[in-house]
Amino acid sequence: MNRKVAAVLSAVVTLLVFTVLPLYAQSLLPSELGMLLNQVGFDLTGFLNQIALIGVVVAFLSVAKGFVYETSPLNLLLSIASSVMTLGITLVTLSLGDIGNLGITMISMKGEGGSNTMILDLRLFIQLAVLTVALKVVHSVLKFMGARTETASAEPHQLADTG
Amino acid sequence: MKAVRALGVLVIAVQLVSFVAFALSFSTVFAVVKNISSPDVVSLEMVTDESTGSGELRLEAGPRNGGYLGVELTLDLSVLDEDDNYIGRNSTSVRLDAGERKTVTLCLHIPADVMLEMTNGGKKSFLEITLRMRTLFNLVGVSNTLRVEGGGP
Repeated sequence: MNRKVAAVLSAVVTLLVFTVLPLYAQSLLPSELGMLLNQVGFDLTGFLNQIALIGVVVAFLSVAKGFVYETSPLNLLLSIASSVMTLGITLVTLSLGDIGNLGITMISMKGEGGSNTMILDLRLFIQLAVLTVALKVVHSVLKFMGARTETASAEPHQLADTG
Repeated sequence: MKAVRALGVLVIAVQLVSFVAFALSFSTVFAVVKNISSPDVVSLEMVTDESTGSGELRLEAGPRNGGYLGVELTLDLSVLDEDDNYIGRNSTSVRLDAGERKTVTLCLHIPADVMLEMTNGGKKSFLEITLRMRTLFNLVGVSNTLRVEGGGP
């Protein structure tokens, strides 16, 4: 498949999953749920908007990558940025919108004469996501170097053929 | 190019492992929380010794692990005064393998003077029950602390 077509398709899927779906789901959810979640200190709208925004950025990076030569340093930069933004989505999702928690999320609800506090420890998945992104970055660098080497070795032959 | 391919496969493998680990640990935690939330699984009663005036808070639970992974379950029972000082505290831990059910009993002794203060409207007191769960080789955890006011003016 053409790289440009693949990039556009990937961007469309990213937009649908991370931007359109969260924004649409927001309109479907009953307002009582939003109020209830606000009581436990969870800003659902803010959370979904963060994911939608990162989705737009990832989609843009995906399209841009498809229109830049694989041997261009810009392609490498876009790949790295795309991986980092994907990590952003994981961080936002697992930290329920508060990236600073780094995987330890606290949900607290206070009422008259009582309280209920829930703590989720999901640091393992944040660490795995960071490991995945680190491996993806190394993968992008190696791919970029490979593409450059291939182009460099192909060029003299092309010159010889045309000469 | 072999290194690039191998790394690509490794990235997919790490992503797959992360996804499976997340799904398994979450379904396990959800299954235990759902089970322990039902009223017939946990009971709490206060027994007062009429001769001494002291009390004993007894928590009994028979949780079942309906998940796919083993769970380390810790139950913590405490009574606090209005300044958040612990009047009494006790906890117990139990290991629940997948599909296993165990009975847990936790007792908390409350001295007579504290009982008197609590029942005769002296000071406010709080009952705190904490349920801690760790699964996936203790790498993933959830804890829930419920605090309710009891006694007092």
